[in-house]
Amino acid sequence: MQPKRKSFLGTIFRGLFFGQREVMSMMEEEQIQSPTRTIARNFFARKLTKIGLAFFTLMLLIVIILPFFFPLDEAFFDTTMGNRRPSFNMMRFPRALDNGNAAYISAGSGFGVGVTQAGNVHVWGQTGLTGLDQIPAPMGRVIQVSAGMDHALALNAHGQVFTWGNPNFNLPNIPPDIQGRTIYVAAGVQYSAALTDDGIVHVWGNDGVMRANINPRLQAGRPARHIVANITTVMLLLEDNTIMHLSPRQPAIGEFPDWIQGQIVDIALTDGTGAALLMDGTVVAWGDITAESIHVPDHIQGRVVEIDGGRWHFTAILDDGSLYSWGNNFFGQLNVPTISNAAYIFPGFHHNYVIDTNGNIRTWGLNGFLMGSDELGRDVFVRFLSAGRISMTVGVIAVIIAAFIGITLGGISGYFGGKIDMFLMRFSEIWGSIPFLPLAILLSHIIGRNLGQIGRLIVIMVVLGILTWPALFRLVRGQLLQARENEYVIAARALGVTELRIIFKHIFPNIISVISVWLALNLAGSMLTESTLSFIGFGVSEPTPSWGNMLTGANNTIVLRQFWWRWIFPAIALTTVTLSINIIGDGLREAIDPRAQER
Amino acid sequence: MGKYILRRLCYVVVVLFIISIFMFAIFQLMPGDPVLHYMGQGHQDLTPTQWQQLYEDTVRRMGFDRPVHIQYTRWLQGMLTGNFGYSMVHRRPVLDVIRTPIFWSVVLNLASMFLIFIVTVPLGIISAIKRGKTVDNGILTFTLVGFSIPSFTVALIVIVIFAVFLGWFPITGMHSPFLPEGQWAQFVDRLQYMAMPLITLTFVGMAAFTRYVRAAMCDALSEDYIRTARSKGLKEKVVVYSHAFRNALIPLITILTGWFMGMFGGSVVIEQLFGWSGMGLTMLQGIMQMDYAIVRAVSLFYAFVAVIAILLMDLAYGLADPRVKVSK
Repeated sequence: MQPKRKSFLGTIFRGLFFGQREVMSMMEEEQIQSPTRTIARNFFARKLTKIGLAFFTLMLLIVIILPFFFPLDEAFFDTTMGNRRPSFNMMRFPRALDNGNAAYISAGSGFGVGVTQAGNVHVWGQTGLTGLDQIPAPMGRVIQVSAGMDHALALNAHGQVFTWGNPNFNLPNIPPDIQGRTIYVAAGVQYSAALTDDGIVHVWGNDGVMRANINPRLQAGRPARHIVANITTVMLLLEDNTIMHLSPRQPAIGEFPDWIQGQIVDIALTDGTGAALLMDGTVVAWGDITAESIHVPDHIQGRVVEIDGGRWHFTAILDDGSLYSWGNNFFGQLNVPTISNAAYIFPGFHHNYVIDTNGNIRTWGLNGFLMGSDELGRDVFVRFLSAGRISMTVGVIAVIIAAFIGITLGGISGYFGGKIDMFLMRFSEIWGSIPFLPLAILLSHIIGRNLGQIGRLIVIMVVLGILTWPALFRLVRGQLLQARENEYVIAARALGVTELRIIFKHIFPNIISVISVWLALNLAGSMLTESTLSFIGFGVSEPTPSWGNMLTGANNTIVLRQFWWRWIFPAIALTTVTLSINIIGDGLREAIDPRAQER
Repeated sequence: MGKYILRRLCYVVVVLFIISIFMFAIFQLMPGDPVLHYMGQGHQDLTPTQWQQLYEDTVRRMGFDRPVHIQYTRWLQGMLTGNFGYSMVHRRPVLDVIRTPIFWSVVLNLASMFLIFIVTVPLGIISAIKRGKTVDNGILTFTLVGFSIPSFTVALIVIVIFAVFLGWFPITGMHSPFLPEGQWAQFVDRLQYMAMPLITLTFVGMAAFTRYVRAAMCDALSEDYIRTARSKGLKEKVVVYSHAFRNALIPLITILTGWFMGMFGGSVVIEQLFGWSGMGLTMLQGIMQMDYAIVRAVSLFYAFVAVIAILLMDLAYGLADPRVKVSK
C-alpha cells in the first residue's frame, strides 16, 4: 500500500508538536523517504533536540522582538538608581497610609517615606541596602519627611530633626543649633538641608558636594520661606517672593530671568532645570536647554496651583484639581492618572505620589526593575534583551563569514585539487595552528581600537569569522573529495554534466547536512568566544551591552553575593542558549550519521 | 622514519618563519608611535629641539629608520639568539619578565591536565561500556553542558561556591602577601591560591576529554581482538582494562599532547579572572600597557607551542600506531 505523501514542513510540525506516531517497516521507510526527510524524522524523534530547538527559537524570538518594546538608550545612566534588586515595590506604600491617613509623603530614589496624620513614619520600597528601614524612635509627632538618594530626614512638631539611612558623609551629624527651631527639611544626594524659623538654611553632609555646589553663606541673612533641593544644589524661595540659588557651580540653574523676581509663589528643581510658579498661575522654566523639562506646555499656563520636581520631570496640580507632568518619560514619570481632586503632590527622583481630597494616594513612575539595575542604574532587563540581540547577531554573522570562506576555499581546494589544494591545506594548517584566543584579543585590539561602536562590532564578527574557517574548510574539502568518488558523481560525469553543475547540483546537496552540523556547533562556539572576548574587554565594549560584557567586574565577593542579579541572568541566558544550540547541532549530527545512532 | 621526522621538522621551521612574518606585520600595525614608547616618560621640560634630538636618537637607536625588511631580519636575529627585546614597562629584558609567568602557566596547565586525565578516563570508559544506557546518556548530557558553559561563568560559579559560601580559597592572586615560614607552609599557601583556577580549568576541559575517551574506547571495543578476547572467555574487566583501554590509550595520549598545548591559549581568561600571573595575564597586561615587546614575545611563544604540538602529535601518531604510514 502506498502511504499518503506528506510534505516536509508538515513532518517537521507534526514532529514538533505531536511526536512521531507511525512506525513503519524499514522497507517502507527506504522507499518513500528522501534523505532530508529521514534526517528531519530522526532529528525530531528525540525529545531533547525538540526541547533544545523550542528553547532556542523562544530565546531568538525574545531577543529579536522584545527590544522593540523595551528599547535601549545606550547613553542613559543614573547612578542614583544603582544596584537596585529585582522587584516592583518601589511605590508600594503601606496600607497604614491609605484611606485619608497620609499627611506627608516624600519619594526617594527607589524608596518612599510617609507620615500618617498621627505623626508615625513609614518607609517602603528598596530600603535594605543602607539601613533605611531602621527608622529612629521615638521621634514624637512627625510633621514632615524628606527622602534623598539613600538617606531620609524627619521633622517633628517641636522642630526637631532626625535622620537615618546612609551613615557616611557626615550625614548623621545634624548641626545641634537647628534642633528645636527647624521648620522644613530637604534631603538631597549625600547632603541634607534644613530651614530654621529665622529663615536661614543650614546644609550638612558630603563636604565635597557642599563645598563644590552649595554655599549657604550666599544667603547673607535674607530670610527664606521654602527650600528645594536636587542632587547637587539647593534653591531658596525668599520671604519677598524672589528666588536665590546657593550654588556657584551650577550656573545653568542660576540663570533664571530677572523679571520673575517678586512674583514667585512656588519653586521646583529637576537635575538640570528650575521652574517657578508665578502669582498668575504661569510657570517659567530655565536651565539646561537640552532637558525636556525646560519646555513648559502652553495649555497649562495660567492654571497651575502647585509645582514640584523629580530628577527629570516636573509635576503640577492645575486649578481644576487635575495633574500634569512634563519632562523626560524614562520610567513612566509622565503617565499621570486622570483625577480631578488632587490635593498634594510629592514627586521625587523617578516616582510620583499624589494625595487627593479624599485622602487616597495615587502613584505613577518607576516601580522597580524586573531584573534589577546595575551599578550605573541601568535596567538590567533592557540591557539583557539588547545584549542577547547583539550576542546572537555577532555569532550568526561570524558563522556566515566563516562559512563563506570555508565553503569557498574548501570548494576550490576539493574541485581543483593539485597544487592549489596543497597550498590551501598548508595555509589552513598554519592559520589553524595559531592559538585562537590570544590572536583574537590581539586582532580586536589592533583593528578595533580606534573605531566606533559599530566598527568594533564588525571587527569582532570578522575576527571570529576569519579565525574559525579552517575547520570548515577541511570538512568541506574532505567531503568533496569523498563525494567525487561516489557512483552518482561518476554517473553524472559519464552523462556529460559539467563539473560545476556536478558540484552544485549533485554533490553540494549531499554534504549540506554535514555543513549544517558544523554551522550549528560553530554558532555556539562563536557566541562563547564573543562573550569571552567581551568579558575581558576586547570584544563588544561598553556602553553597548553583550551577555559577555554584562558579566565584566562580577568577579568580586560583593557583586557575586549582594548584587547577584547583575551577573546571574546573562550567565544563565548565555549558557542555556549555547547549550540549546549545541543540543540542536548534536541532534542534527546524530540524525545525519547513522553510525552515531548505533552508539 | 628518520626521513619523515626531518621532513616534518623542515615544515615546522617554514611554518614558524611564516608565522613570524605574520606577527611582525601585526605589530607594525599596532596603534601608537613605538618611538614615543621607547623614549619613555619624563621629557616634559625639554625644549622642542632637544626633544626632536632625543626622538631622532631613539629612532636611530631602535632602528626604526631602516627599511621594514631590515627591521624584520634584525628582530628575527634577536629572536634566534634569545634576545626577545626589552620591556619598557618593566625595564628588563623580555625574557626575564616572561620566564616566571611561563613557569606558572605550565604548572597550572599541567596540574589541570593531570586532574582532567584522572577524572575523565573513568567517566569515558563507563560511558563507552554502557553505551546507549542511562549512564551514558547522562554523561553525554553532562559533557554537552560542559561544552556550553563559558569558562568565565564556570569561574564565577566556582568563586561563589568556594570563596563566597565556603570561604576556603582566596579569589585572586598567586600567594599570600606575607609568605608563611617553611617550605611546606609555602607550598600549601600556593596550593590554596591555585585551587580555584585549577578547578575551573579542569571543569572546562573535562567535557571535551570525556568525549575523546569515550570515542577512543568505543572504537577499541568494536575491534576484532576484543571479540576474540571475549570468545576466549576472558573476564569482562580484563577485556576492558587490559585489551581495550591499552589500545585506546594510544590515540588519547596523542590527543592529550596536542590539546595540552592548545590549553595555553584558553587559560588567558581564567588567569585574568583569578589574577594568576601566567602567560595569558602577562600578555593582557602587555596589551593594556602597550608593552608590545612582551606581547610579541608571548604571542610568538603561543604560536611556537602550537606548532610544536602539531609536530608532536604527528610523530606520536606515527610512533604509536604503525597503521599510520608516516614514512610515505
